[in-house]
Amino acid sequence: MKKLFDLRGAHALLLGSFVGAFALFPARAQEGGAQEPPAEGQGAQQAEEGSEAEADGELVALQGGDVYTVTEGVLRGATVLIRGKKISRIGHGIALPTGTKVYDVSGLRVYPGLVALDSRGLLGSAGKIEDTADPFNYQMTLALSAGVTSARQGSAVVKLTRGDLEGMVLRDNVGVSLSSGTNSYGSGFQQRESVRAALRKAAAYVKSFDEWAERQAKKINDKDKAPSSAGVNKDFVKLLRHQEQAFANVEDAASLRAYARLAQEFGFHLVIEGCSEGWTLADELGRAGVTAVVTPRNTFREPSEELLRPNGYSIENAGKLYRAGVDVCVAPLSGGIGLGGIAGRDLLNLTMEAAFAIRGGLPADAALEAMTIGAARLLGVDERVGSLERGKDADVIVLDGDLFDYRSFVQYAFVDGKLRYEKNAETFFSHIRPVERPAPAVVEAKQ
Amino acid sequence: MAMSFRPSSRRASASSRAALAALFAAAPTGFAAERPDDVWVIRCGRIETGTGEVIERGAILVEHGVIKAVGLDIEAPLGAREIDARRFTVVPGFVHPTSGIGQDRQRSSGNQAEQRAHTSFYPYYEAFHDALEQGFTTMALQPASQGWLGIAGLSAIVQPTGDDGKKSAGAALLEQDVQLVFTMNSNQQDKDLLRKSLEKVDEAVAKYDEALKKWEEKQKKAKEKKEEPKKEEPKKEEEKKEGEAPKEEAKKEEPKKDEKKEEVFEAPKVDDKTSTLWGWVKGSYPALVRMNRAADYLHWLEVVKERKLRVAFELEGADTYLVADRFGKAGAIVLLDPQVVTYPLTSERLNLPAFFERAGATVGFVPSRRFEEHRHRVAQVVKAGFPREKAIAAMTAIPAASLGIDDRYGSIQPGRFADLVFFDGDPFEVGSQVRKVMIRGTMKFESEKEAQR
Repeated sequence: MKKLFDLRGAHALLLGSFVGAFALFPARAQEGGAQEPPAEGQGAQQAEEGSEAEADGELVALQGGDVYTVTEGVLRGATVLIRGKKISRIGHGIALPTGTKVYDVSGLRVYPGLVALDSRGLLGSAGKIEDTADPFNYQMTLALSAGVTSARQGSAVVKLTRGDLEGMVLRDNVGVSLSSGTNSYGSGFQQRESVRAALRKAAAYVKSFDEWAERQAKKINDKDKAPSSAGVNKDFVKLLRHQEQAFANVEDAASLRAYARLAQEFGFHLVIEGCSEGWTLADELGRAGVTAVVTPRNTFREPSEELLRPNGYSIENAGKLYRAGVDVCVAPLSGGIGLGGIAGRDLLNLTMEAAFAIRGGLPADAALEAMTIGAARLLGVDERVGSLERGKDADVIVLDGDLFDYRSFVQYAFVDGKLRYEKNAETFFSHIRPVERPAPAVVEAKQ
Repeated sequence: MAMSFRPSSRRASASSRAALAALFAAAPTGFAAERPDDVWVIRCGRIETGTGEVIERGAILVEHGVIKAVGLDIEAPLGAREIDARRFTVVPGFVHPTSGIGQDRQRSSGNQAEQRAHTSFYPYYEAFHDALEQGFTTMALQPASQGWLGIAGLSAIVQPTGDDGKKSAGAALLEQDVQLVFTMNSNQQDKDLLRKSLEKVDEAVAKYDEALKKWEEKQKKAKEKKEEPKKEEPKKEEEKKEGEAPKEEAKKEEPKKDEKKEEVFEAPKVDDKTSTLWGWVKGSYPALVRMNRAADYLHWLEVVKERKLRVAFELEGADTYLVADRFGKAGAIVLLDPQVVTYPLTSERLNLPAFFERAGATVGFVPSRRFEEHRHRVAQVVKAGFPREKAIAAMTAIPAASLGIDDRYGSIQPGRFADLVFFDGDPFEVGSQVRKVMIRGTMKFESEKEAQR
């Protein structure tokens, strides 16, 4: 039960920050549109003092765009200053140090790079990512063109550091799967009972261990030994300690209910992928504190009147789940780059998938969150990516329109502060509505 | 002198051979350099030295098969004979850096570093003569030239022998263990293989150093012993107590002690594969690394890290242009197929050799098709933008440099073997032909046209 409160709390906090952000910034937006460029050189020295100066790295500024920070609202006509691999500053009137490469992005929109909850084939690798990845794979380039800068690939979370192997793997061993492998909750009675038994055992172990740790802290008895972890499922211990989240691919209402109850009973955080019939029991899922990864254009099952209950897929799924308090993330039908066959329901159209969630009732800001900080949180990489904040990884995308507009193109994609994709420079989309963009200017030293 | 010159084509019928022989018997002078220890001055129409330099109406002084001087004012030493080559453009003999003539073995996964190309060298393939006819004078024979996996072994240098009157055609082995050849793919197998192989070398080096250190200490003690012969016995015991030195060494050295103070250091044994790689790591010979994709280079860097290695690269895939700048920065030798490709996933033309050249890499060409096509394929790349002044070097000096033999082969400079090709025009003109080929100061080939003159 504890976890449930945690989650609701976090959610409320997040919403709060959003509301706050929106309340704060319209005033600035009305002041006169684009921010005037800061006087060059004027504050160059001042800008470099303090802790920032010690962090070395190339300086890149994205100047004059509408910055969608996700966690701190929208800053119109603001500047994002990148130093090396990290975001150094975001705001208005930032004095740019000498040598900063300045991209004029006025009139464009700046978002954090999108986080794909699942992907396939982006690295062209077969084996250990560090040893086999092809960072020049065209599918990676295409994923960047779709705004994706981080993605789960198998059990790892990778960054699309095109052209570099370094810094590619963000983390490994993501999540605990409850729908495949040894920990599968499955559908048979026996299987379910064995999982429950393992969870009970893990819970008992966690409890006794915590009690022991408490005794140790008080130094009651020196000979007091730690409880044995023999036969305890380590994955489940991680789940119960909230160090890891459970992932399960569940579609139909009956299974959803079973999984949600399991999560509620043992108090771990469950991520349900698919969740097609989730809208029929949204309240229950909300109470269980699950996160749903939905695919709005998934046609899991046609609604049937024979079932005498709401059933089948619905485009309103995401919206209804969200309103019931379920955290919603969005994933396309295929995590790969599919240039034919599945008709635009691949990773290349992640934002379109989210747009369909909005069409079905999901608020736009929630949809943006779903593809950025929300997804990063599910993968346990939200400390590094998922929003534009000072100190976070400089994974930034620049679009020529709204993220959910079908006409928008990613113009630039930065990963770890390095330009990895530029629409004009790549063969894929440079010929579509071409707009010449000025080459980045470099801030010169004041004589 | 009557039979000093053999007619060029081994396909020529017996009668035509006889006729030609008769023809040349009548000629008072000619390219009758039967004895390589002769001294020759070759007066040329145009010399492309293979270093980018072009000398019009220059001359080349050749002594004992080696170039002694090249330039405009070459004074013929006393007794030197002259060759009139003023109607020719003379270039260095072409160097084939990745030949596989007679090497049937496919490259297979795993470490086959102990393989030596010269052990399976068979000299009587006609292909050697085909190469000679097209101006190839030096060929690196790879232990396994085909395939995309693993460490193949050490290559050897051979040269076509031409028609020497006894054998129809063939080649002679010049040098062995010239270059280590292997493939680097972005797959687990190849990467692990290289990584582990290098680790093994490191281990062997450490072992060797340790053994050497112990041996030196022992020598020191032995010296002290010599100075104080009275304390001999207790010291011996001390030595035994140490007991950490390799056993074989200890056994061998002990009986010798009384007779000889200077003992020979015996290195710990290393297997063939590791010692081969060790030779490369310590710089005894360079390596040629074959790569197919841009990513391979990044993985290569990831494995070799800070090591300073003698290495050249043979690149295949078009997407390697993506890392051209990195090769350029490193000033690496890059061997490429002379052809214009297309950017991946497009139909846009990409002159890969020119791209690499502009990026600062040192580009050499690999004759991956028939020998007679090679020159024309290079010509096409030149036409499409590869600098003409670097094209000859890319077929001669640079492949030689990739093999680490450019101090002896591949250019018309003092100290290099007199391996020369005589063209009747610009080598990159369609109509130009190879008229004569000289190897180490001896004319080994003359075209049919030339013979009929």
